[in-house]
Amino acid sequence: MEEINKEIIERAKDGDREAMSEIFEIYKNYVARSVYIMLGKNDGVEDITENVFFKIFTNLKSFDIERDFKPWLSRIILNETRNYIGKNKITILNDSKDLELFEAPNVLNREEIMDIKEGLKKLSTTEREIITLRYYQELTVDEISRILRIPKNTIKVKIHRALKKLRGVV
Amino acid sequence: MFDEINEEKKLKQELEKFTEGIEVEKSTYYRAMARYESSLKEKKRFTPFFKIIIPVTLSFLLIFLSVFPVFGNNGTLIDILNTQRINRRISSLKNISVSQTENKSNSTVDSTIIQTILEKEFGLTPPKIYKLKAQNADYAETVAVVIIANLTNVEPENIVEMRRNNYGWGIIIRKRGIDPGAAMLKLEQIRRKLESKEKNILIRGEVEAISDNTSSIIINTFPFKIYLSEDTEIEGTIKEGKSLEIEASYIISSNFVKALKVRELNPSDIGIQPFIGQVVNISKNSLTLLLKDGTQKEFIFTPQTLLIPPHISLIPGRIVRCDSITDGGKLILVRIVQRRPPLQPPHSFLPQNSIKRR
Repeated sequence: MEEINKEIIERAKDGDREAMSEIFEIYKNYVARSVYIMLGKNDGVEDITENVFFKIFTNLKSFDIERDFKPWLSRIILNETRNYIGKNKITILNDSKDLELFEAPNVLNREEIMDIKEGLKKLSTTEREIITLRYYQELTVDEISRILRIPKNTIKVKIHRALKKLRGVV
Repeated sequence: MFDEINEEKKLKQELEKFTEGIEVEKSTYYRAMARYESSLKEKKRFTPFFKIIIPVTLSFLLIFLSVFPVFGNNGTLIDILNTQRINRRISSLKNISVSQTENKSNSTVDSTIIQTILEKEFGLTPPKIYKLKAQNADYAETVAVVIIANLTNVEPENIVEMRRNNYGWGIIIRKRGIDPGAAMLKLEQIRRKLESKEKNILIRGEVEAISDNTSSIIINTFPFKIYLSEDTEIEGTIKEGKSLEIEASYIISSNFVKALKVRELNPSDIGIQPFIGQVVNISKNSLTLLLKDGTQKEFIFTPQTLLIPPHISLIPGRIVRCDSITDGGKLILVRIVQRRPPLQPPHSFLPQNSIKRR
């Protein structure tokens, strides 16, 4: 995922609707897919994505342009996903007993989906969050540590454990 | 290591594939934008209210409360805050007494300690202190009255009068032009003195008993033995029934009292008039005595009136001595005295070698 042009963020901070629309276009799938991995199902992805962009637009004024946009965005995605899970008391992937409830996108081969889904099912909520931040959003361990407020070494251990659990599936 | 790097690459690819089909429609943007626009409108509606009207109103209210005495005898808001600060200091003085007073007899010790501080720190005469103590329910309040009076060079009675009219401490110090910090600093200094483990005290009373074995005496106004040593300066003679003034060092933890200076005392020198007579009548506020010359005198009780001994029962017909001061034509009871058996402090506190027999 390429870095967004800071000029777009500057304009969006000033309330430029066109710049806001550009931000949406750049990050819409990135946000939705991150949520999808953390949530493990399609239900709620659209609602959370909408909430994430509402939060981005509302809080852009307080965003420090000198800092990286992606970690800031990741924190919003994480918070909104956690809020949604808490509010709706929904069952996430590793708690689901019925595999058939999981609605996969049609474009993928069902066997592959089952593989990665099986793998993610083995992970705890925090491990899945870390895997999403590290391998989908491609954040550094340092950035993940700041977002999750967990020490760097703990993050490294959790990544190692998660990879071990996924071994054989991936 | 190589495997792990490969695994990581593979995982990235798998996650990409896994989420490939997730696409977001433009309608999500419109919905988020609609919520954003509506939140902006709400903000615009409430911004003047939160940013201007509330702070301005609160500021005016605070200024009004701080300048005008809207709280009656408690004065302004600042006065109330100062009153609370001074009350907290006064409470801390009371707490010291409570923590160190384990039995009733120690309240006599408290009274003696405070009396000494008021005499030595503020130069008050004993009758003046008795009068003040008679007017105030507790000694901590008396100390505060004396401090405020001392800082403004007015008579403590003026401050007592204001307190009687329910004026708060804050308004009193403002009217007297005192810096609240100075009053609180002085209260703090007194508190530290009260907290010290060894105190200098002034004991006045009559010798009730003398013990040659331990070189100690018992004074009727004080609950513990007072030890005499070679260093004790003695003016005059020590005899049973004689009035003495004793400067002593008092160690709280052991209730050990060592006399530093002893001198004879005429009670009238410190403004106390003794009357001996028979109890005729006793009420909640006063006691009437029939004196030897056949006249009757009425004495007024105060919360500070001492009973010596504390368990004395004042029934009609009993002979007692009433030590009193005159205040506005009235006889105010300082103490009512009757003979009592001497009190023995715990044996472990008696010094064995330090005091020679006299």
